[in-house]
Amino acid sequence: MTDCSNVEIRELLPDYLSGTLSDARRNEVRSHVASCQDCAEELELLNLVRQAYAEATPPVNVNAIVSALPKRAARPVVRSWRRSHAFQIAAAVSFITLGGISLAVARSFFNGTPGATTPDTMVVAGPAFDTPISFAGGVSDLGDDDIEALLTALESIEALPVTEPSEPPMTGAGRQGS
Amino acid sequence: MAEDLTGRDDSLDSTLIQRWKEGDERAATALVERHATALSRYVGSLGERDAADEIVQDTFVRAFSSLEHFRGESSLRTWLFTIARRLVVDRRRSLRRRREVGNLEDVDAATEYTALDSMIASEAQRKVWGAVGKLSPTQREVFLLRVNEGLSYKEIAEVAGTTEGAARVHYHNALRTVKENLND
Repeated sequence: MTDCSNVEIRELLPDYLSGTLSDARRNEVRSHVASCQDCAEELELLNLVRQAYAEATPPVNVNAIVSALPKRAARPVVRSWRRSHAFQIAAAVSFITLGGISLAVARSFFNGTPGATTPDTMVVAGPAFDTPISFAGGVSDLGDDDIEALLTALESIEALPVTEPSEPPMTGAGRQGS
Repeated sequence: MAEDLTGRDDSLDSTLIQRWKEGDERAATALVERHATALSRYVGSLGERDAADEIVQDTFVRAFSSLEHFRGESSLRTWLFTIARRLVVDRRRSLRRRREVGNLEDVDAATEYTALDSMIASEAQRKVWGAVGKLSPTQREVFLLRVNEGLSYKEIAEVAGTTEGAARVHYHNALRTVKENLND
């Protein structure tokens, strides 16, 4: 048994037996094999291999296999975590963004305004501050009562969320009363 | 067991998988019927005849457990062969730890092929069977995947964990060796 020199056809012989060739290719192989003794013998050999293994195939119990398959549960409506929390995520992003903008505005207000490099004058208003405290010239100029009142006000401010104030906390530019 | 080995319709597999995903349990039966025998033949050719039924069943159980995520990048048949081969390797590794058997390359195919000789009625088939049994395990696996199952070299490479080029070389070397064995 020798090998045909037509490698292309020989490569197709297993596919010919498997029935996976197109009609055109199938006819091409059939035509070649009809006139080529080597390929006819090789095709016969491959076919014998297939027959031998088909006969010796270990039996399988299809029903037992199907019974062992995992049962397909009804598919629950699965929503991704991201989708189910979309509103919360959007709210958090908005909150952080607005907070960042507020901070940027406040900083630019403190640092970007000509002549207002330091918060010399501050008016603090809040729940604990019915009466605005005003001071000028720095902390060293405050009296004991003023400092006490300011610390009390600061304690109440810490609990407030960081949001953009409706009005700038600073009033005026430059020192007051100096 | 004579079986029609012809016909590999990957699009039919895709249709059946889709039907199964939609809740049609009969599609699972159809998929098993389409591939169980080929898998058993393949597992048997790897030297696991006695455990073939169990390994084929495990193959389908594993496949269906993750069929929901099967994207069809390879054919279902190739995927099933890959799972079955891994199960055979795992089984051999487990048995080897207990010193009951060698690895995939140590299968004494000649002994097994002699024992199964009587199952084949035709004298010509018996000779071919014996000639294939003398191949190296790798050559035999590649040769039978190509001839019996009609897998392409690319698919064989995927299943056997080799390259397309190496699979082609193994096939042609195996074919030449079988011819020489038959002429002896």
